[in-house]
Amino acid sequence: MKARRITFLAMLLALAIALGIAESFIPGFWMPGIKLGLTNIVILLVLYTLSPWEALFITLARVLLVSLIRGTFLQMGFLMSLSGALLSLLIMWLAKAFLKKLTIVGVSVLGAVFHNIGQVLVGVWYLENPAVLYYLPFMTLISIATGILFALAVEGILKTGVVKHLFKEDATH
Amino acid sequence: MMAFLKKHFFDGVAILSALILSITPIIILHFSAAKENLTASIYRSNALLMEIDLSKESEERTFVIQGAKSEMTIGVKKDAIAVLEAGCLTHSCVHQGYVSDSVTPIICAYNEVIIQLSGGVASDVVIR
Repeated sequence: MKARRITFLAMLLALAIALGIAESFIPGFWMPGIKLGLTNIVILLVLYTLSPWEALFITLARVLLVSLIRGTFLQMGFLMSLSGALLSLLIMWLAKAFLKKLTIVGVSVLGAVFHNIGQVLVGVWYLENPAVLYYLPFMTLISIATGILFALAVEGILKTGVVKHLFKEDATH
Repeated sequence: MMAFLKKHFFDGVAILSALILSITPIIILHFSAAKENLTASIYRSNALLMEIDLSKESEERTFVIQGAKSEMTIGVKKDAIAVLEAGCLTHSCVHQGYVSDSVTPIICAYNEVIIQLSGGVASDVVIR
């Protein structure tokens, strides 16, 4: 069970890294540093199939490795990515744990919105100028749409039962 | 249909709240923006680099400033300013084009340059 779980985590981490690098090539229109948050798909999947601690591991490892690969470690982009990812994970975990009436869609939207809030707050701190706050309403609109889409994608994956089947086989051996 | 709505009611509340919180500032910003007699303030690493009275600009012109990491070409014309070239990877600031209202900033995070416009009484002073 442990080996299968670790392998599954490793594959998800690789996927998160690939998505993190891929989305950096998508132009952020006119907003500096904006990302679609594709990696939230992986984080949502881990949150709903494994544990919050494993989601934290994937988040930290993904942000660190993508920044090392792209050569942006400890620069503004890294700090924005880290703060957004951590705040998003915290809010999604809290929403899933305490707001039981929210489905994965609501949790995902909250995560996406707070991902942007975390990024913008660090942007304001780093540049020492509140001008970055201008982009937050527009980023929030986009994140509502991406949050819904990603939640539907993860819901689709969960409905196939493939993850449950993955760990169920171990129980019979 | 009712079952779907019942299942996702609180999701809808969360989404609607986020929509209201995002659209309201956009509307307020749009109606509060000044579009004439604009002065551009260019900051680098949070220090004021220069101010330009855009209302005095009659023809389009360009000049180069030194950002934190690379040079940037700035274009100015009457009541508008833009970043035409920058050494950053994403060129978000360049894609933004000319900005001509007092609420929209131009930010080049790579060079730590922020251009902010303010509207008000026209000034005869250009500080460089």
